[in-house]
Formats: sequence, structure tokens, C-alpha cells
Amino acid sequence: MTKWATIVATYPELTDNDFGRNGSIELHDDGDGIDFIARWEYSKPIPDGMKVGK
Amino acid sequence: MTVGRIPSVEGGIQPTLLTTKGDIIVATGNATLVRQGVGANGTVLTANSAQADGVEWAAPSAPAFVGCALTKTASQSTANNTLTTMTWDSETFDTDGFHDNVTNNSRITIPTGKGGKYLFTAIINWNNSASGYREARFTRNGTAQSYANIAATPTGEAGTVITTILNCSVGDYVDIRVEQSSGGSLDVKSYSIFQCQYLGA
Repeated sequence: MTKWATIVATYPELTDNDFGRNGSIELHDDGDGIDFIARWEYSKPIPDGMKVGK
Repeated sequence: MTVGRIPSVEGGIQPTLLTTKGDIIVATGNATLVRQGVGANGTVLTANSAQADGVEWAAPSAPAFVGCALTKTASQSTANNTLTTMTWDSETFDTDGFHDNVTNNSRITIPTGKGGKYLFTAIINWNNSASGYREARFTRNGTAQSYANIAATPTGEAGTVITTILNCSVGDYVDIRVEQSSGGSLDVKSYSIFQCQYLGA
């Protein structure tokens, strides 16, 4: 399951607008197929078992 | 203006040395002058020590191309709403070691002696999906430079085309990062391309 899928399963109120450079959450993949949270500014906590960075 | 012969003086150049429009005078050695007849249209005077008078008319050589063109041998999966750095494991050409197919293969890095203005172009070919947006951006040394963002097409594959001119220093690296909101993972196809061309200092 991707980081995005885990996050929206935890917070189903999130939409596409909450992600990316204009949203409060940024997810990155440096090209190695490993996705990670690059920025978390959402008002709720990072889901259990996840962190900012790889 | 009056055109005529220059009176000869001792030690001067005889104007009769020149016979044709465009002729010039060159030296074959110390104080030894000869006529170099005008060359064919479009030719340029070029130094050549093998010639008796040290020069010759020659067709101008085209400037050597400097740049690279990269592609992929396989599709690359991108997770939904996740900014993904594109990797490039195949070179169509690479004139000056801009890229490595294995090490940091997402990057075009400006080699020694090649700093200046570059045209960068990328075509990102997405797999089929009718939902969300497709975005591509150039980043230099990790900082975003420019974006292209399109809506998914109702049918068929979408292609995100992005181009920019950047003034780059030696050692700068440029890569392509993409993002999509199809609602799930989506492939970037293998026939996507990333290329650069040196424009000048």
C-alpha cells in the first residue's frame, strides 16, 4: 500500500487538494520506488507507523 | 570616392599584385608577399601551415553539437499524489558525459567547461487513465524551476511536455519530477524522453 493510500485511509476527508506543492502534505519518491512524507502540515497527526522523511 | 591605382613607391606594395575583387595579400615568409585570390562564396579564410602562404579558403565547419538525449528502457510506476523523480537508464546520445545510466541516473549534470545557457525538454508519456491531473516540473539542484500541468484526457494516454532555458553552472544538475492524481499508481511509459542542448555561454 502506498503512503498516499495509507494516509487517506486514516483521514478519508483528505482530497487531492490537500496533497502536493499547494497542499498541506507532500509525498515524494526519489526515483527508487520508495515513497515517503516530505512535508506534513496537516492539522492532524501523522498516522501511526509513519514519519517525515525516509 | 575615386578608385584608382596607388602610385608605386620604392619598397611599397605594387597594386598590380591584386587582380580580382576580394583578393588579399599574405606573407609566405619574412617580407615576402603574395596574392591570395578570393575564395569561393561562403568560404572562410583558415590558417593552414601546410600551405605555402599559411592560409587557405575553406568551407566553415558546423559547430559541434553539445547535449544529451535520455530515455527509459521500462515504465516507471508513480504513486498517487506523490512527487516522483524520473530515472533515465538509456542514452540516445551524450556528447560530454552529462548523464550516467546507473549512478544518479535521474540527473543531467553540467560537465566541466560547459557552463552556460541550456535548453531542456522533456516529454512524459503517461499510461491510460481518465482521472485527475498530470504534472511535470524541472528542478535544478533540487529546486523547482518550471511546471507543466494538464488534466487527464477522457480516453487514451496523456503526454506532459515541458521545456525551459536555464543558465547553468558547472556541476549543476537538472532532473524531472512528476506527479499525478489518477486515484492510484500510474506508469510513466518507457518512451518518455529528457534531453538538453547547450545554447551558449
